[in-house]
Amino acid sequence: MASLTLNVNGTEHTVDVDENTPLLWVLRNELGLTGTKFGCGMSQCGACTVHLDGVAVRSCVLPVKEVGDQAVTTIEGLGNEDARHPLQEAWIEAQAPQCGYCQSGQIMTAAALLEANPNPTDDEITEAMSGNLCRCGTYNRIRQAVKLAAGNRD
Amino acid sequence: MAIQDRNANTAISRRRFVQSAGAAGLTIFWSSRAAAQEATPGNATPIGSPEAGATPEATPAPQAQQSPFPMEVDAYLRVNEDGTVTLLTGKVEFGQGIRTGFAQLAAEELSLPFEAIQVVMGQTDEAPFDLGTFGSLSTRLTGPRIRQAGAAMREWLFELAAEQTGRDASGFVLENGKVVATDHSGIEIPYAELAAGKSAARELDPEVELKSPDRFTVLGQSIPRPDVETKVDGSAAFGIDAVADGMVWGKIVRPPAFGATLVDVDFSEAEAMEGVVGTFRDGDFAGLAAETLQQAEAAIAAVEATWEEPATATTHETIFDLLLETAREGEKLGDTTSPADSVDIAEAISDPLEVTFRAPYVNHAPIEPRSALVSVTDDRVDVWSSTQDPFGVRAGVAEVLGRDVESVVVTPQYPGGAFGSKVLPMAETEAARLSQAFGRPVKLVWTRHEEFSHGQYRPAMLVNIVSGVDGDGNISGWRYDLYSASYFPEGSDNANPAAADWSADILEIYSVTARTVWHQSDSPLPPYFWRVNGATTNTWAREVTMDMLAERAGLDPVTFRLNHLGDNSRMAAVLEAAVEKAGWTPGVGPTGQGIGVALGFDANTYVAEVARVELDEGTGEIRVRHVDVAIDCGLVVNPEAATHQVEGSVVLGTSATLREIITFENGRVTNPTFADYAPITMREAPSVDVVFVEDKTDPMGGIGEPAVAPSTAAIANALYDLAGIRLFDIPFTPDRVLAELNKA
Repeated sequence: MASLTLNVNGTEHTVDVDENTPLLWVLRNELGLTGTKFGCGMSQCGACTVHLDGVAVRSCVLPVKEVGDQAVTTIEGLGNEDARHPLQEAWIEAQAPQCGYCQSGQIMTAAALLEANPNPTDDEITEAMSGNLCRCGTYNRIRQAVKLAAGNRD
Repeated sequence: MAIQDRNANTAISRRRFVQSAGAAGLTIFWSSRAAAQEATPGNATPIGSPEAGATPEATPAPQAQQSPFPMEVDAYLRVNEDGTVTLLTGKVEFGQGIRTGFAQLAAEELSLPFEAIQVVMGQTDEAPFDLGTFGSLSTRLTGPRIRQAGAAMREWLFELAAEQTGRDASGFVLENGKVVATDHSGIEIPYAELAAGKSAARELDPEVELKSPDRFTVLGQSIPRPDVETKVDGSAAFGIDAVADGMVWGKIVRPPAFGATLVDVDFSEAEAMEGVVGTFRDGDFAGLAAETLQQAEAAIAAVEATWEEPATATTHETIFDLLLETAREGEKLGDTTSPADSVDIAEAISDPLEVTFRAPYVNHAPIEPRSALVSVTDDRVDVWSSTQDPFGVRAGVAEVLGRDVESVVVTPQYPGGAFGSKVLPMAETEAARLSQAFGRPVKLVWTRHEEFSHGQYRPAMLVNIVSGVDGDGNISGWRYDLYSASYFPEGSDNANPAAADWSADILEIYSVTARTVWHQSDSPLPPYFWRVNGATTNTWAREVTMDMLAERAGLDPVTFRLNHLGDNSRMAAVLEAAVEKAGWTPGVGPTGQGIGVALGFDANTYVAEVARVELDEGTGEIRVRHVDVAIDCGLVVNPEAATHQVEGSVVLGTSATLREIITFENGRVTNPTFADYAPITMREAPSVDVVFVEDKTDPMGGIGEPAVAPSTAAIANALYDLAGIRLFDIPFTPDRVLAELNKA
């Protein structure tokens, strides 16, 4: 066990965990931030995607000791009912989710994309999003939602 | 109670259910053989859908056998003090939109705004019993009950108003939460004042007068799904998210292969590890729990188990030999449904076309693995899980614990995908046993490896079709032989209506002389329901053969189909709508356009799909660019949600067509990761356009599954149209495409 201080969604938290615990489970089980999902534990589905200093990473394979002082942003930190991120608004407008389980990861991947490329083409969206699986098959609406958030209404 | 006993009981409950439903006058056709035999060619009778329900585990509750579905209005609708109405249903929401659609149905009949309907779903101590959420049954079967309950409540409100005012009950209408006198006397009484807290004391009447479509204001509107708002900010509660005070983490000792028995288990190292709260073994079931997930993972890795494995030679490559070798000669259950039942149709066809189709085992692979939290105490058991079947979970947990069903309360959470994988109680019963053993609430989350390796699978299927065309370009005969395991356990009556035979009977669509036979075979892996079950394979086999026969007849595939639809006008209408949307250009044989059509019929819903594909002849990679879907599911409750279901159906169907196969040998799944199983991503997903063909007076059909079924066939026919090659093995991998291209 190790005592670690994490900056998550703008707040400092001190946790007492095995330092090799994946960040995903620290977020979910220690901090109660269950919006970030477990899908595979092998960085193959994208459900666990969060940001480290604005960059999308797979929290299921990231030992918490490697986070250091980088700022962690989860879906809860991106926005909420009272102040939604434009992507969250766009996701609602496009009615993108079905079961919704993969969508936190999808939105976090999309948010990192728009940070780096505020006006992506369809192909650029597809390339950026193709590491995030959705078994309900909502891919077309996800692409549409990213475009809506980027201000591209075609 | 032994498993076998439960199966026997279930057979009884299933028959009773059919009787009960029939007695209530509901138009429901379960796919009993009798129902199939009553079917006539090409008509619009809803046949052939052995609704995935009535699985043994789905209906074991004794009270369910007596009364599968409550008929009391009170069980479905209650007026609250604040003027809202609570709608109760045993169904669960997993993104298909029934929370929204059901509320629309109730709001419409009660002349309330959508927002005035509060919905309670699946909570077993509040909601009415339900068989489970599967088989595209929710809107189709529960939807009418909700409308009937709403209409009955409307009548009741009129009676209450009449009683209070001394007027005639016929002199009132409902307007936005108030019972209003029609004589302009100004009398208007809020529902709550009349009915809050009271019992309607009446039963559903299937003959009750429902609101007519021309007066709809809520039903038929694309009302945004309220659940979506909670699914964009992480606040939606899924099964995996449930927590309880004092909770510990469970892990199960898994067998190395299906059918293995546990000889010995050594927990000594695990028991000495930090955080471990206990270990447990009962027969082949062994597990442990620890204070944290990481401690449980470390402990389970330290368990030494010795298993005895059965000899299993069959692999994913030799499975089709097994299907043929183990086919039960005496149990040909597909039956004859044509006038030619006394002759062998195949023998009578001159210049026959014989084609064999093979489909592999596939996995559901929902992104959320099976997850449950169970708290067992002396007098009560609480279960939180992402299940499609809360009442089945209640019964399953009660059984493994030896408890009374009523002492178990299941609170369903959102399932993170299911597709048939979250019907049987699995993580729930495992967690329950550990919780009972250790006296703590136990949380159990399956790993991805467990999900791929220890669940169930849509079983492999082999279809052989012998057919031909006569000199007039018509089908001269159709002999259809389907080989597959039953989706139900061996020995139960439910082995008869196998889900493998969904859509197998060509007479559900076309008017031809035909014989369809299902041969039950063995399965080395546990078979189970998977979104639309055997219908995808059957539809693929039928619709590809239709294209091959069309070419023989020298006809365009659309014309050839229309020629064989008889009086199936709803199917003809969706076919014509789909080809119009797609801009179909007629042609005989490969036209090079890469366009293909297929028809499907499931859950009383008519579907036509037109796919457009491209092919990289260097890599053999098929790219499905676009699919146009025309669909007639009767009255559409929420067009946007229904469209979403069709889009997802086509994407899942495309994934199964291009990518999905469970490989196995020695009783082990050999590709138990997302990387190996490789469902399609956004890159491979086709765009989808949906056209509804709708007569609002038609009954509500299913929408969750029907559009999955024709997707493989439409892609296969488009590939042939483009490149002149046909693949008779799913999935259509680049290797298989290249092999065919090299032959051509």
